[in-house]
Amino acid sequence: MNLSVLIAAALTLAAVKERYAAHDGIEADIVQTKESPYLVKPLVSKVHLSVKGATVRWEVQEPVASTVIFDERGARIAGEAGSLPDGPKTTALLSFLKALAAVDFPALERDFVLTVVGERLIATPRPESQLGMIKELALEFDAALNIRHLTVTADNEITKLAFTKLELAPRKTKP
Amino acid sequence: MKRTALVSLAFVLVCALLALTLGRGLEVQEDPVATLRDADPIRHALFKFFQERSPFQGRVFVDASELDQPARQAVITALGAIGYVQSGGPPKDAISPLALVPLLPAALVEKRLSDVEINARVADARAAAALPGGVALLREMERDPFLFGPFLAANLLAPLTPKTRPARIVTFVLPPGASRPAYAKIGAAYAELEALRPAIHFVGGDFFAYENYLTVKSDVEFCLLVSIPLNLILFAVFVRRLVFLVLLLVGSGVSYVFGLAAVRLAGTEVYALVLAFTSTFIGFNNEYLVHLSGLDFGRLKRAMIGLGSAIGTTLIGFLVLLPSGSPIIQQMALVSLGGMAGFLLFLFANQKTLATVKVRTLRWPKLRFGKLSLVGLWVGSIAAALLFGLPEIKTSVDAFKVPTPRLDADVAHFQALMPSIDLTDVRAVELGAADPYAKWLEVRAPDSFHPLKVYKPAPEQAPTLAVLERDYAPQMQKLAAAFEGAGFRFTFAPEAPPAALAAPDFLRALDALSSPGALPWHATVAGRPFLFIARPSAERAPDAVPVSPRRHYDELLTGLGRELGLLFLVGLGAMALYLIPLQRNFWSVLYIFSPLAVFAASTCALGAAFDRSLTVVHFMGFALVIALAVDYTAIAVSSDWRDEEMSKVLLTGLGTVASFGVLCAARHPLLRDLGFVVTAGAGSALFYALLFRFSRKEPHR
Repeated sequence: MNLSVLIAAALTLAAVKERYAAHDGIEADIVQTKESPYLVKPLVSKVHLSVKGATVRWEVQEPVASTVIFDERGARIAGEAGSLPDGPKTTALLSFLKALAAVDFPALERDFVLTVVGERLIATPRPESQLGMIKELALEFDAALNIRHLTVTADNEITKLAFTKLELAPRKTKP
Repeated sequence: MKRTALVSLAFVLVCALLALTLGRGLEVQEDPVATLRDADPIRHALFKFFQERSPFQGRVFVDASELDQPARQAVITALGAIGYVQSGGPPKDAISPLALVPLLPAALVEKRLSDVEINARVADARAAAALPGGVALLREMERDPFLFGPFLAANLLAPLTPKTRPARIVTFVLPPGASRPAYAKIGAAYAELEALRPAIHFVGGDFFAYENYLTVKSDVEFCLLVSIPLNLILFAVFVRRLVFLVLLLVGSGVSYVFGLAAVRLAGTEVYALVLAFTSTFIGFNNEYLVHLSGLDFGRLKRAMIGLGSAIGTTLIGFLVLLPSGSPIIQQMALVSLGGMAGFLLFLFANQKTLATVKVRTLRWPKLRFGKLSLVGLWVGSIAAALLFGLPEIKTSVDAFKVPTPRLDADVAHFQALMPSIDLTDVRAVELGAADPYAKWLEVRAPDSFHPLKVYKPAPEQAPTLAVLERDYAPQMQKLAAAFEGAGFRFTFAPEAPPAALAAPDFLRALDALSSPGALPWHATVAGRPFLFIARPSAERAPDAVPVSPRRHYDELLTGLGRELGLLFLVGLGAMALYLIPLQRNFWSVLYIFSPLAVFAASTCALGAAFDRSLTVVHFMGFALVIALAVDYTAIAVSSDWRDEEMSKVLLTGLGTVASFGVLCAARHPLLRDLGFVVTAGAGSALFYALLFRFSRKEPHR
């Protein structure tokens, strides 16, 4: 039995949701490639993702270090001078990015319809969502349902994320 | 009985014909408060304009953050069934925040345009670009390269745009032109949303209206369930003739149709409150029926003084309401006059049957009192009224609101979630030819609020404009070069440094920048420009028009209460002028009105004791008390307390007390207050008329 058959057999929406429902944190290393008319050339960056409780840190290590922090106060760029645009759509986008980074499927489902197509989990925005600029999310998993690749197709943007490491901290149960 | 049946059938046919011809096109206005409208067209237009733009009009807010997807879908489906659609918020016109920058302090703008900040913006763009989907953020940066938007929000507009967490709140709106859903449908959607508690929080005007409707419905059902058997017991004791009930029920149906026909002849709209008021017809009709029972219409002279007094005063009571400025009060008068005419016509057609109906006669001892005691009663009442003083005439719209603890808790939940500017007292101040900022300075008080609070006139903008003139263009060039050097490909719209910002331009820019559904702070209504200011100075803006619903309706209802009070005084004067020649005796007239004097004094005393004001609901009750109390004493004094007539007074009085007494147990505050006023007023007048016999000669002589 080859790997793709194994993945296809394991990949159901319920199984994916269950896999990412109960964890106390995520640590991941990612290589991100972004293509956009807003960029002179494709941007390749190395990212460390850290999710602890309600705080998500998106730390770009290369080519230029920067960190975006999502927590209960909203989203901000680490450092004193950092500033992000604001407005209802931007707020919705940043909430979505937090949910995506935290692999929070219930939160993603508020704006996206999730379906399993072959070996991929596809998310398309709901008609009423404010996130119409995101056209599609496509997630690929390994046989253990660890995310391997994520492709974000948006207005003027295609971003591909390759997960080189993904660790979910198991939820601590009370003795 | 056969004749009665034939006459009744003829009247039913006439009524059916009236209903078919006049009933067409008659529309029911349901909301008793919303139907109140200011007689002044400008004031009405201002209120309407502000309310139509209110973020709460035709909207349902849902906090669905704790709901899973199926539950969210259930919310969308339930609200969709009553016409609501999820609102993403209409996009506002794109505007560069640069226009507002002259209002910032010069030092801040100088710092924002510095080389250090240029490097920070490039770093921001890098951080945004490194987010999946982050190009949407780059697009915003292309539009506002120095990110003046968030900078203005933090340093200038923070007092105008309180922090909200919109991601938690889903807004549903009724599309323009959509009609209000039926209560049954609202009830079904409400039940589905309620089933999702405690994970859901929601508020919407339709749910408050539905709770109000449910309460009134259950109150009416309860009152009918109790008052009908009580009245049937009274009929069983006093009359025991089926034909009496037939005359009362068919006659009341006739009076209902005649009353509505009178309203229809005057217009096409009938207020639901007026329809509810027609339920009092059966009480008045019962009174006429009882007093006309057993009488020979050919020889009415003997009974004419009492009947003429009772019917005449009631007629005057309604006639004086006709010139009221309130369409609801006018309709109440019209429907009552039409109903009265219909019922009396019906009884006249059934006079032969009516002559055969006898009311059981009871006897009981009465306490006699003379002129001295009557004068003493009046003097005491007037002294008490003067001593305690007239309670304040003031109505709050809360008198019309039923308790809704769950919805109220959700209102508190959303208020905590969306701490907002206090908009409970917004007033429209006419601008005329004045500059908006000059007007704001003229009418503001220490706690007033208007976006012009953060505005600075042109001379104060000068230092910032000088910085912009000097730094903006060269630093913009530097920033563009820095972005290009960092690998970004932006196309910036060429923008000149902004000029001094005039107050009207500031308000226009603010409109474009503010969130969808934000309230209008300036507008031209009916061709006249106005500023909408929260809590302007009462002294410096005495003509400001309240447009916040609570203030607006409180003022209208208070005005209505005062108007009713004035009309009742006129009515009482007219009744006195009518009764003096009819009764041919001043003392009799003094006796007839004496329970009203005691009632007025008691009202003053109770108002002072409990620090309560008189509301429009109390005045509506007073109308019924005046009509009923005067009837009891007029019949008593005219018949010289004859047992037959007093038994009729006892029967009608007990029927009234039974009908209005059960209202005291109603859940709706309006019905409960009405019940208390009428039961106390009519009950005490009945007690007085039945047990205290006035004698023009002093009893001891």
